[in-house]
Amino acid sequence: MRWVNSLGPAAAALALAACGNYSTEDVRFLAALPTRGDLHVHVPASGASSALAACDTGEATVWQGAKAVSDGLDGGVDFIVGLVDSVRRLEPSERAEDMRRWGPFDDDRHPGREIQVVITRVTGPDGGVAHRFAFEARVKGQPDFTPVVTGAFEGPSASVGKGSIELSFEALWSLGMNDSSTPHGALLATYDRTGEPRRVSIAIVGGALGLGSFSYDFEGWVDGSGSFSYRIPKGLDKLYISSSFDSAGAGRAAVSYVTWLGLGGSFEQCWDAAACLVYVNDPQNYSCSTPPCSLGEVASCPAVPSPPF
Amino acid sequence: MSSARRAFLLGAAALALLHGTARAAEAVARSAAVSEVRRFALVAGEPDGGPGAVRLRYAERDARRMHAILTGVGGVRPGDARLLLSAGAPAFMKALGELSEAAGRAGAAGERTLLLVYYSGHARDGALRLGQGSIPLDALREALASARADVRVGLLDSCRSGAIVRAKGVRPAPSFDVKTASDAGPRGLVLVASSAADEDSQESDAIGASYFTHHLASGLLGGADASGDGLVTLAEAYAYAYARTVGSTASSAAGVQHPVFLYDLGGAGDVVLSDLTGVSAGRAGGIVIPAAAEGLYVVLDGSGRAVAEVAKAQGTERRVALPAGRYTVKKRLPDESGLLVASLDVGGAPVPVDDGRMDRVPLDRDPQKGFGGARYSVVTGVGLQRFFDRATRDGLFPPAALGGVEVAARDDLGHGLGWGLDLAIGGGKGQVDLGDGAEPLPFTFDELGGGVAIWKEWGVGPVDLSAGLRFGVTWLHRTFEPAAELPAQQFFTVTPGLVGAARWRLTRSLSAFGRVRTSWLFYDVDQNRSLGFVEGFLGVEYALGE
Repeated sequence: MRWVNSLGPAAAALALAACGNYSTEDVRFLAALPTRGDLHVHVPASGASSALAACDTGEATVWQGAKAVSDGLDGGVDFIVGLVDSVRRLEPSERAEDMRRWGPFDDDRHPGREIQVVITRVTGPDGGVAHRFAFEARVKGQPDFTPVVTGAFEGPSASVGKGSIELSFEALWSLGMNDSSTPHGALLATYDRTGEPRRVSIAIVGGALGLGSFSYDFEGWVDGSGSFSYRIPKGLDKLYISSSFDSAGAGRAAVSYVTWLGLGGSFEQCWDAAACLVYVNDPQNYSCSTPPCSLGEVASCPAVPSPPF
Repeated sequence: MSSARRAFLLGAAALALLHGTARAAEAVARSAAVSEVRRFALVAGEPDGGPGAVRLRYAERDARRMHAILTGVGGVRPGDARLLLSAGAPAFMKALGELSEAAGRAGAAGERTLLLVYYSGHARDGALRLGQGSIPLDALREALASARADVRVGLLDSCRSGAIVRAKGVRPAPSFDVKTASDAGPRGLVLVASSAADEDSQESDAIGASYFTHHLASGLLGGADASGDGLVTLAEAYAYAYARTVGSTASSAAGVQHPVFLYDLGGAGDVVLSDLTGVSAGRAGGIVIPAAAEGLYVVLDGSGRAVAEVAKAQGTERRVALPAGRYTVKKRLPDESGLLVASLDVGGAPVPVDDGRMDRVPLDRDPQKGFGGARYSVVTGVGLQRFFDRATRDGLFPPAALGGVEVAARDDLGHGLGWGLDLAIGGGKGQVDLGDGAEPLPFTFDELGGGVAIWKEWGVGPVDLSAGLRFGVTWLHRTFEPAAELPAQQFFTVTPGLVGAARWRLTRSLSAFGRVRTSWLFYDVDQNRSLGFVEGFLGVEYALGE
């Protein structure tokens, strides 16, 4: 009948009239992506600089250095998450039941290159959900994309899940999408927010960000206390720092070092919430310029969640 | 002596003679049943009178009403009737020519024929005004005079339409010679105009019609059957419409309105315009007002609008033909102390109206609703929206609270049809289930909706019920405040649906209002889904201009 035949075009017209990005499934895909907050290491700021000047026993240099390192790592994380976040501002170009794709788009900053982001969802036999993330790029006209940022996230939400994300600076170089400040190597971040403590590990391979080979492990508790360990160069020496702090910022650190001459040693430090030393055990007087470096009693050290000594 | 007064006296004189001839030919008229004459009807309603003319509110409604009567009790076959609404002058003349030819063919085949032309609209400067076109009254008269039907009847409801009879003047009809022309039937031309050549024809918001057409229609439905034989003749209809129109307009600000006519009939018998014998015999629906009853009875339809009125004197039973349905009959008490009101279900047999069984109500409970004043109203209130599908309700489109405003135009389209524009704003809170033990993600959403609806309204006692269709649009916007990194989302779509409402009049201007809407929403972002939702709304309606 004629009126029945006319229902098709009418329904099509109504379908065309519907538009928007109102998608619960999009939300579920995006919720699986880690945010800056999920990957940042939350090292409390050390005591105010004015307070440091009042430290009769000297300042906790290890603690101050740790804050600077964590801030630098957070900057690297921001760079990665910035790439991941790019999809949050755009509506997917393609939606499938377990896939969202954005792009390909022309890379405005790198003419002749195009980029795309693909997130796939995998449901395990136990019902657990995992997502795979790929930020890919290619030279226009070429068939295959090269992964620049890849990630694997378990759990329905990054805020309570775990996963890893890797940025390959080498891929940018190979695609000709680098600039003069682009480092070499790769940056790998892993996180585990499935329980207490929440863990973030960052590894730098191949000298990325000027840090050489570097690994940083962080554990944080909801009360603001935490612990971290990392290796870092100090001039020509190499240090391995293991530290823990309470929610007020008072903490303990155990530091092992190898000097450029190959001599090894260690020292221990404790500091209060104002970042003033309350205890130092440094028989080799490595940690200060005016011996003796050791001071105070170990009983003065604060209680911390993962005491290194 | 004014021309209106002169027309009145001439009309009255002619009316008396016309009555006389009609009574003399009553026996013939009885036999001249509607079905014995092949009837053709051109019915035109033209609210637009061209530049400078105020658009008439009820011209089209008048035409529809007359068309329904003529094709009902008027004996005109639907295929022999033309209803023209705002069709213009060329279409009018074309239809007149076609019907004239059709009548000629029927006449050639041995049938007796009648061609009736009804027009409701503007007339000015000696011409009917149909939109941008016009038809001189002389030309119309000539066209009718030369039409190929045995009897041609012109009914003009327009200002100064009496000019159509002025050239020849109003004169009495020749006497019927029953003996010599008993089998020939009437032949000739009758022109009836709603007002004299210098008078305006008036519309009434209270009855939703022009006075003349309303009374003519009431007469054809039975009010004019003074003889009580179940046949309403042209003479009876004119006499009734004349008397009632003059009476209704006697105190109007625009002055009294006097219908006039030109009667140029020869042959035997009167012209029967409607046949109510089916009601008398119990074959057709209607009401019967007993012989002993006296007074003005007004018949209201389900919307409370007058469809007929009968000015009844004691002595003869009066029948009013009505389509099946529920009606309210009211009668104003002689001492103005109140009304008698009864609800009647008219079906396939006539229903008696018994004063003794009618309810007495105060005057301020008059069930009759006017067409003016309360036509436009503003409705405001609050409501809730809820999707039928639980999964959708729990995630995508949670229940929403809405506040809205609506402008409604009741009975603006005739047939009790009204329309309205609505706008609502609201929103609510919901949460997205992320699954696998994760905390649900809360969100806040806003909603903006609007639409246009058309509905039909029925009056049931003090409550007006309505049902209709609505075409709406909806815009949704939601944000995930605890997860500010998630982008805001929005969605726009159309939402056609059904609407039903009830309105309880509290005061002259204020009514309580309740409405339920069910709508369809097509969602196509994640997947193509047809979703349904219901909205409940409670508010108040304020009638404008009443």
